Amino acid sequence: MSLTTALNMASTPVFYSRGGQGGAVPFSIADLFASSEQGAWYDPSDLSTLFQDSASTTPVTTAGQPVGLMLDKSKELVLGPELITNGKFETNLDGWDVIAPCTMARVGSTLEVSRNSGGFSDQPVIEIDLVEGHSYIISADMVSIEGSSNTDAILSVRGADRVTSRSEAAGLIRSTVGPTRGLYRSTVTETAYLLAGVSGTSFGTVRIDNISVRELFGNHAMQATAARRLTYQTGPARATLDNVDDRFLVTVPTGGFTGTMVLATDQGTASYGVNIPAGPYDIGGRSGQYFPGSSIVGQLIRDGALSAGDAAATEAYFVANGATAGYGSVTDFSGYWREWSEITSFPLIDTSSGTRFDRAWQNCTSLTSFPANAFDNVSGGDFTDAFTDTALTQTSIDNILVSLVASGISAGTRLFDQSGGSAPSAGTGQPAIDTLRSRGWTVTVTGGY
Amino acid sequence: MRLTIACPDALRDDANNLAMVLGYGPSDAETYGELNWQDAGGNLYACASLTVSDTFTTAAQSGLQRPAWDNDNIIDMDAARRAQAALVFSLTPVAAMPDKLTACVGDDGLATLAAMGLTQVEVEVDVGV
Repeated sequence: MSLTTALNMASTPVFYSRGGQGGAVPFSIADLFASSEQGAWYDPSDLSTLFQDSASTTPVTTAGQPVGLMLDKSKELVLGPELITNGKFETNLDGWDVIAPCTMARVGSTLEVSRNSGGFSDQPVIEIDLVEGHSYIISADMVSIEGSSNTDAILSVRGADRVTSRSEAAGLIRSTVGPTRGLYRSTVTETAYLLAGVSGTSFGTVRIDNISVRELFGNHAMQATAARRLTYQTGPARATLDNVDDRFLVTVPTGGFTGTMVLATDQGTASYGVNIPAGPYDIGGRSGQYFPGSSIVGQLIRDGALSAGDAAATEAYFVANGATAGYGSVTDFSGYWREWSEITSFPLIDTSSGTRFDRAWQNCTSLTSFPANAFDNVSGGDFTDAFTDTALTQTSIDNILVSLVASGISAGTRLFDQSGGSAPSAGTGQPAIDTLRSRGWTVTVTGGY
Repeated sequence: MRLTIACPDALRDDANNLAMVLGYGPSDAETYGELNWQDAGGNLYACASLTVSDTFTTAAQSGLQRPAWDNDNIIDMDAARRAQAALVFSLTPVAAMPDKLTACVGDDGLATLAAMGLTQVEVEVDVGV
């Protein structure tokens, strides 16, 4: 059974259309990953993908709850093969190992573990092969729990030495019988152990059955630190950030993502060219702080650039879910994309209400491409450190300067800073600087003109 | 309700142990990370902002017990108790103090930090962990 079924996730819907020759072409976001493209698709409007904790034990059901896990739908939440070689105990306990004085026995096709002394890691373990950054669904049926009032049953991931705890939180601890299930993201590639037994702070005897570990394909965004979790809100459905410390983390697989990111927030929606290296990556603000909005309504990242039509259709899907279409209402862009070093190209967005752009693209160290006409209609001229530490091409810095001239701003704050990348051209950029200075602007650019 | 907490550098380790006791697992040891806020005197703080239940403040001021998940005795309970002793709760913003763990109630984390007299420090931020 796939987890898609288990989670009651809605079947992949068809939305909108790409403009195409001969009429509209049906569009589904899932199609963007149909040829095994790498990436991620986060959709807070789909409650079946949100959990309050990073281990996926408590679903998000209502507004105001924390979001510790946001599942990636790009792989359609498919489960991999079973990794536990003997989790049903139908004929024997092969594969399981226990160290005295802890004991194990097969009782009625369940695993019975008794621990009344001995170390926690002496309890029954079985080998599992885990891959760094991959996520796994661990599940079992807790059949009986006997002992003192505080005796708990537990499933816990241990390292290759059997002793080192690998579980991100508590493992799966249950004080009552019944099915249990949680998500675990491996931090190392190793032959590890799954431990089944009695929780470390108590003694007793437990019976466990149907122990299972299966990979949940996808690049799931999680936050194990409680204070850094986002908050689910409705009207529209979204994961809100406090812009203090909230953020998800995802582990980008080997090879990274070079392609397109569509980010839909409460303040605007846009598609960016990105180059995201393998390793940990923030979903949400940089260190929880710099983000173009205050909530995620939808986000898609694909390794391999989207066509303009696919990007537009994806944006339309997120906007239909409640994202704001443009940035036309934003007045203060201060620090919006600051430190987003993965952005390589920036789209043309509506900046017409913007009065402050200070540090907006500061330290976007990979940003090379910036469109023409981006600031033609802005409402203010504070571009302090707006483009410091960027990698703009000559065409891009020329685009920016010419657009500032077109804005006609000749009063109020008039500051512009660029460093890194290319200097403005003599034929286009430098004359634009001359015009800006004649209007009272203080302009600092690469090359010192 | 939303609680926003300012933790001075000297209390970070202790406060992260307290966060594990009141939280859910070892990852709560990362509650107070970068020192990217400062007061008027230049004292640096790591800040956290989170929604808590009504019982949280009571639990945070009650006797501390090692949580059931801590099978490996990760938490330094003495450190957690030191942080608890330094804890100051307020239903309205008060100035952050360099020798206290100052926790204030307020709907907007950023606005609460501003009302606590804290401003962002210009530092390079980490991407990811």
